[in-house]
Amino acid sequence: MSEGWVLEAEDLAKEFGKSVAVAGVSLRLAPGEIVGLLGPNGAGKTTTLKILLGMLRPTRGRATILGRDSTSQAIAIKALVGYSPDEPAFYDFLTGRETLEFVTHVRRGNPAAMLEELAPMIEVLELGPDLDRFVAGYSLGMKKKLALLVAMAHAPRLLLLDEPTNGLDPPSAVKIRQHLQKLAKTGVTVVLSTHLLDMADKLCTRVVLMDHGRVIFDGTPLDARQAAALGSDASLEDAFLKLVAA
Amino acid sequence: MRTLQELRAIALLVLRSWYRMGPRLRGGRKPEPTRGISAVLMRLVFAALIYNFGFTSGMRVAQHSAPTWAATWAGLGAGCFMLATTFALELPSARMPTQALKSELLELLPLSRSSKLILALAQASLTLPVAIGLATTLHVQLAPGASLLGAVLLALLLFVVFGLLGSCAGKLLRLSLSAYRASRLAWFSSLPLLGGVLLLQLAPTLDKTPRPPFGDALGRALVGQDVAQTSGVLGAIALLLGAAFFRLERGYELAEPVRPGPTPSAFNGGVDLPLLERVLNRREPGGSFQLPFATLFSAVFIGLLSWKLPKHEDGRLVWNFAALITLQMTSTIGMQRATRGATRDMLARPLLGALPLAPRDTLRSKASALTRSLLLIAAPISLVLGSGFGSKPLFAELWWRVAAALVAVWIYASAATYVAFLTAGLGSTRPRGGVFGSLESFLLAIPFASVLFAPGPGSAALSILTLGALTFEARRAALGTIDWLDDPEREHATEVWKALVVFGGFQGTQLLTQQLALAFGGEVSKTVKLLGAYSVAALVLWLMTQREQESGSPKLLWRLAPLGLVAGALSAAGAWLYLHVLPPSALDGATPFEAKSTVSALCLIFTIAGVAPVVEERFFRGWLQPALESTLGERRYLAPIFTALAFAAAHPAYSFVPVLVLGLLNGFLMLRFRSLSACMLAHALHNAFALYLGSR
Repeated sequence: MSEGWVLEAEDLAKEFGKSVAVAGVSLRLAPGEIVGLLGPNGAGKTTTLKILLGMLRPTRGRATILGRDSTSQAIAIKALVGYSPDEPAFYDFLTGRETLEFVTHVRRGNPAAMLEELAPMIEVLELGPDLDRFVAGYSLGMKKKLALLVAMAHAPRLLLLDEPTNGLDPPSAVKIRQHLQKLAKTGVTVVLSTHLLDMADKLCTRVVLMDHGRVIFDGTPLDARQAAALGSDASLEDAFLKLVAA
Repeated sequence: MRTLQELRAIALLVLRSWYRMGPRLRGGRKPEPTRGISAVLMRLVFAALIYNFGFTSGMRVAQHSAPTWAATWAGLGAGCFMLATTFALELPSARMPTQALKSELLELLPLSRSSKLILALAQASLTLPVAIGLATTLHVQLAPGASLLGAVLLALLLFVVFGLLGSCAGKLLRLSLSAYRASRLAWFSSLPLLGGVLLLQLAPTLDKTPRPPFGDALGRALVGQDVAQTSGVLGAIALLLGAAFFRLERGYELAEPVRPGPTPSAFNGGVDLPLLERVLNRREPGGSFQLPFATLFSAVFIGLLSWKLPKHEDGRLVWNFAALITLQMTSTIGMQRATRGATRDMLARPLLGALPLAPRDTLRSKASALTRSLLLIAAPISLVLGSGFGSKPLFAELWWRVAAALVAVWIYASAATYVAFLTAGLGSTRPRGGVFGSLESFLLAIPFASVLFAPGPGSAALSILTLGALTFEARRAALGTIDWLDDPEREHATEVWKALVVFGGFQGTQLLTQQLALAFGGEVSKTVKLLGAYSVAALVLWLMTQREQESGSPKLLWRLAPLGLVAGALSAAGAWLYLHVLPPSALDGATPFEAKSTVSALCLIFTIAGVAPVVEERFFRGWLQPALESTLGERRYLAPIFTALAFAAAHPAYSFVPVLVLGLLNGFLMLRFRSLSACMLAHALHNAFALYLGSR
């Protein structure tokens, strides 16, 4: 496989008993790309992300992230990649700050330096005042913000974000979008699974549309409109609906 | 009408939760392992083992010189058990997804108070068989003419009264304190739980049971006297408590038991996994009180016992009490802490699953934190060593006993961590009855108790080895699970571990049926009673092994039968030789076969030379050995040796060596020829010869 790609997936498939969650997904991601993984519920987005991170073993195919195999070198990949789950959960009786310190320790980093580097992001997310409270008292939005901080704490070159702005207030969602764009300019690759098509349209340089475990479209948001035979002023949502219906 | 529909839905929910509760074997070969006869049997065996707790207590109460006093205390002990469960459930605590009847969804539903009452009692229903076991046994033993229905009614009323008492006390605390403060008091539930265990076990054992200050009406009813009167009083109390429950029920509280305001970081001086475990243990409700309390409790009790030891005629009795307290404290708190640790990991799974954590580091840090805690609780047992100093022979015995106990606690802490991980933690993927609702914990409890009450250092060492082997396999199963824990397609327990859990079920059934047969078997001879008990357990083992046989590799190849006859003859000859070199004292514990009639002789032959070889070979050579072979890979030639050791350890100590020889011969027959029929024949011939020797 070529060394230029941050992520390469070839014919990834995952079956749960008789149900097929992912049916042969191939992807190649370059540094600095912001890729939106779109699709209806049950399209296989979360399963694909979990296979890439080494949390699920694919039934078929393989994926490499930064030159490492996601099945046999899952631990090495988890040390390199930042992941924010769809439904974040933490130890209830650690504070936000302690959670970040623990995560940094596990990734063999320096907690003090990490907190210093994350300070602007903590400020942007307005989580500072709550960082010393137990996570058990956090709202869903606060947990989402903490999950994003956990994903970014070690300045990873690849971010896998599952519904990153779900449950966030609009100002926070905008700030996160701007921050991700800033990161992409420094060469960080971002893969985000989302059903917020408006955000995907504004943020993503590339969209991968999935349905029934397959990739049915892969290209820029503009290309998606063309593929759906729509004009450039049509919304991504219209293109999405047309492509899925086809 | 709506109320009826709601009650019906709640009843269905309760039934479903019972069906899903308890041990379950995840199997890769069948898509739905919760169904099928083996899974249901395993759960029944577990319920029977809980019943056994009340039953053994009842049997000992019946032999007490003042049975009504002892029965009163034992009845209160059973009640304390139930009270502890409902009390703990009412207080806000770390959420336990393993408790199917207490979920956030249920808390959000606008349920009627009657439904909530049913849910509260159903949560505690796991403890009901203890009360039923106690009441029915006492009735049968001390008032054979009295109706058993009365005993069951009494047990139910006792359950409702104490269950509601715990529930009301919890509600009262929750209403008068903040969620955070109420959660801090959740540790109080350890007191009635521990008190209940000790009352059930100690009340019938003490020569001079203290007279209960409030009279012995409960005890008299439990032994079958004035049942109606006491039931009436209990019923009235239950109604009063029911009214109190309705009055105190204000809907569930979803507030998290979290300290308000900021908390300074505990990781200022750096963080590692063991520190994380300690911090989380300390911060969770009751966490900071439990350990000092348990250590103080065992130190005070064992200290008092040790102080009495030099004056006591039989030091071993004092040791037994000290060992009992240590066993109860370490196993109860060990399993509780391990479950809590495993559960919180499962709740934090989205975080942990994405971190580069090596599975063995996670398990090691948990096990080492628990080992430290349990050794602290067990340490007071060494006090008995000092007190036995005056008597040289006693001191020598106490020395190895204390050492063996501490080693067993040390191993048990790791085992509890792995089992909790498999039954309630990341390793489990569906709600279960928690770690107490598992045969796995029973499987560990047998060798753990055997170490503490071993007749000699040799058997203590053998039990430590067994505990060590089980711990090793539990760790392997836990490690195998953690790698792909999000993957439902992945086998979540090793085949060997599944086989061992099934074997735990077989042993549990045998223990229970033996006790029942000896207690209620009437005039039938002891041999026939034991045979009957064995046959029931064998049937259970046969059925539980059934699923594995459907696609298992060993086949019944009858053309290889002569090989089995040769192996059987060799093994029988070995047994004959062994018997001749054995000192007569070695056979002290053996039960001589006695068959007074032709029918009982035929039963004896059929069970020992027919049923046992078929069932045991199906399990040991048909399941355990192939499972070990696939685990060992290239070193599969070791599988017959390990299987033979397990096979021999499951037999009485005096027959260990001949059974080991038979196991080795059969193991190598299986390894070489894959013929189960040859093994069965060899086993049958060996047993028939043993029967002949035993009848002489």
